Amino acid sequence: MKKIRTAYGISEYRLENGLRFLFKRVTAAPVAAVCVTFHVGSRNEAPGHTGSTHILEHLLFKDTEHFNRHNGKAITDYLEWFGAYINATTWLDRTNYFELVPSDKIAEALELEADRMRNSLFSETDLQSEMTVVRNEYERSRNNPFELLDEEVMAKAYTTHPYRIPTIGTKEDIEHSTARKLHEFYDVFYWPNNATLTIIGDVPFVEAKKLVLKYFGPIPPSPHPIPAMSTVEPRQKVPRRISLRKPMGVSIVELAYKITEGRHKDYPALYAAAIVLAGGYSGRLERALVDTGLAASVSVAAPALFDPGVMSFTVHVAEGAAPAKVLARLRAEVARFAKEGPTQDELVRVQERVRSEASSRRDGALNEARALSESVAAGDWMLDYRVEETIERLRPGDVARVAKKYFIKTGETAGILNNTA
Amino acid sequence: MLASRVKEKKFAWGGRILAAAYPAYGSVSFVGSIAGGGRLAGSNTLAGVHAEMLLEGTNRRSKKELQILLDGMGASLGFSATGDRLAFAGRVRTVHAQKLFALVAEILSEPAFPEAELAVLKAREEAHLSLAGQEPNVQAKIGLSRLIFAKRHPNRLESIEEARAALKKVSRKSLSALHAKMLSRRSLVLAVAGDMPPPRVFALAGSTFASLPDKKVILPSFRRAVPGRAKRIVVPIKHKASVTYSAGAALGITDDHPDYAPLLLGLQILGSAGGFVGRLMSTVREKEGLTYGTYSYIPGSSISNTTDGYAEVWATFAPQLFKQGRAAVLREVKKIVEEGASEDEVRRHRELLVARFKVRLSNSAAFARMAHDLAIEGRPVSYADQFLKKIMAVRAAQVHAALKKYLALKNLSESAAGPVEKEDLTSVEKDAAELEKAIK
Repeated sequence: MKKIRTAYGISEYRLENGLRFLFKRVTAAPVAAVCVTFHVGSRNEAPGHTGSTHILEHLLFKDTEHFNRHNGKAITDYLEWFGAYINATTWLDRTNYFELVPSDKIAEALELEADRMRNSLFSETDLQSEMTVVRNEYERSRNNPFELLDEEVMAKAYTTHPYRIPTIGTKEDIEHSTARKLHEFYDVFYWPNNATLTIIGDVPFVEAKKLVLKYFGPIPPSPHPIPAMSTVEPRQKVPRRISLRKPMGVSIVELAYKITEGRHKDYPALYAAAIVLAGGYSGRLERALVDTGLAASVSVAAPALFDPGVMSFTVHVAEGAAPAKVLARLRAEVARFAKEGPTQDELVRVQERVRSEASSRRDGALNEARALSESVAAGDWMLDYRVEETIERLRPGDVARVAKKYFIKTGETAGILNNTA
Repeated sequence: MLASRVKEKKFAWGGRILAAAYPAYGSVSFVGSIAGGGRLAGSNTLAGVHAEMLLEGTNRRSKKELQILLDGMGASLGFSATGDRLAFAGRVRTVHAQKLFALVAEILSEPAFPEAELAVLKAREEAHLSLAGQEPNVQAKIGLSRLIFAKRHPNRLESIEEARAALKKVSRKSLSALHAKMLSRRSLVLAVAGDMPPPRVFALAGSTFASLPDKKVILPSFRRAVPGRAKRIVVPIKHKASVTYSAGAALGITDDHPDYAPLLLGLQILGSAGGFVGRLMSTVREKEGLTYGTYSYIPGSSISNTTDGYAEVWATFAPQLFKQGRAAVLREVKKIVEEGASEDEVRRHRELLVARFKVRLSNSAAFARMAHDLAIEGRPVSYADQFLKKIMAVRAAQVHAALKKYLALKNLSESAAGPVEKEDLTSVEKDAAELEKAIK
């Protein structure tokens, strides 16, 4: 195990098989968080295989050689019996498997995670019973009007890049999944040299290192290079718009702008712009839309992604307000901001908000491990800290510059969900 | 475990302050409350609007000024109403804690309830109600609560229509009257966990909240629910893609009743909330693949609530699997009620509950929440540790007796919402033959 660096209280190591290992000792509570982030998400799915990463995540809770229902060590409940919280999530750039365990059960957690990295059995019976569960999850997502509109907006905003496909996949592809196809996907991406293991908690490093080497050390690296996803979204040339009519009980407006990837130098200023517009309590859009009775709520999302992403503003339209009018007002506020930039006072508030959010994200071993997993997925495990540091140094002109550059008509995709209920 | 980390001070003016030093990256999490809530307001909607209006301005500051002040501290602060409390919770960097607590005291002492902001907030609430009305999870929960609890019970939820009607009636006058009725320092409970030494918390809270008005707040009484015959309700929401199903039974007991710990364990064995080790998840989801999630628990009455709660069995189904899924869930309920659980199964779940409790107390917000929830019932923080001892003493025979007493199918009311029709929810007894078949 080779030490790479220590930064922000976190030490980075690399195993011989290519596994990156991040470690931080936190003694606030007698617990430890373990998180394995695989650098594969729906971004890596080929056409016809959408939803594979997510279904695979479900199947990795089924039997492996050493953890299975027949020997009384089913993955779903083995750690839970020790009081652990265990779960997994799939998103655009990554899949992460994590648990919060009593710190004296760290060996059990690492043994399980190492085993399912390469030893899942993929029986057709397991897939069939899990498919109903996945279908139900898909159907539940159809109940959510915000999710529905967001999927349509992303599908319109991207023409080529796989960010246009929702992580849960299309119904058709989900229905045509087979255990064989999923096993092939697993064999392409689930290797130590395509993963980052994080341990944060009340465990001495010497013990953590011994256990990591014991359980993860013997796993061989992939016999092939991990395929890189190289699709580049072509530059958008015209504003895009979609409109839906559905009986969802609410009307919603979403306005998305193409932005950079998380590692780009402009990203921190873009994140600051997002907060000025719709973060905290005093965001400009809160004033323009909620305080005027046009909206029930307004929110912004500008996640730091591996590839260039979007910043999207979502408005829950108030009863009686016209969605088109709300969209016009929203667009006008963003345009005004692009022209003027933030005030010095607004930027000072953003900086305080960012400090506060960072402290919140890192409070608790599992929260910290999961926050780190997002930076890992975006391609730099120190990203969260770097963004925070850059925002501390920003001046209003820096934010104004990126607002002018990215909040442009040719980067815009607008969506309206008109309620017909 | 909790008791050893939480320090407590009861002030002569009545307030109860709890503090735990906990590494939290230079911040503190806090949860506080005073007596009030839906019980005092006579309507959950009125109580909810009252809570939300507290951030709409004070006599000294407009809404805008309040918002700028909060953002200037990077603080999060929210007010909410529970069945019998007006609560506030949030997080702030320690360096701003004094200023934020002073602001909370100002908001409580001098809320303005401005007319213009109220009109906007009411329009917002209308939109939220429209959304809630189309949400299977919300409608199933409302439905079950109304089958089990009579009017005025804190666990009975207003229907969407009732909430709309109540919302229309809310006025600046009704909000001011409610506030005057509830504002009293003697019922204040505040729990703070994070990077601040307990003596500093006590000094700060003592000097900040001692000046709140003082009066005796008497919450209207309510009748506990009585276990009774099963009833059913269906809320069809045609265009939705999944059905939410809730079955439940009134208990009429609180967590200090001798049956409570055995019943809690019984429901844990049946449907361990949020995990996979319950029988429901391991059979209905893992073996049969009929649902994304199915759990059982006692909402409205945890180890920190003296209001009588209810037993609930919850599941979500694809519409075409609803009948089969419901039968499978009821089959598991029937089985555990008739056969109980083995001593070994009870032992494993006892140990799991205790271990889970400790694992989940692993951030400052969880510490503050647990300390607050115990304190509002007038209990010492050591009650949590005592309760865990009670759990560890439960045996299989007690679990079986409690399940037979409270969870018999004939007492189980059912609520379903989503793409489902009234005829899909036939009587449990009518389905007995089908259930028998399913069990075999």
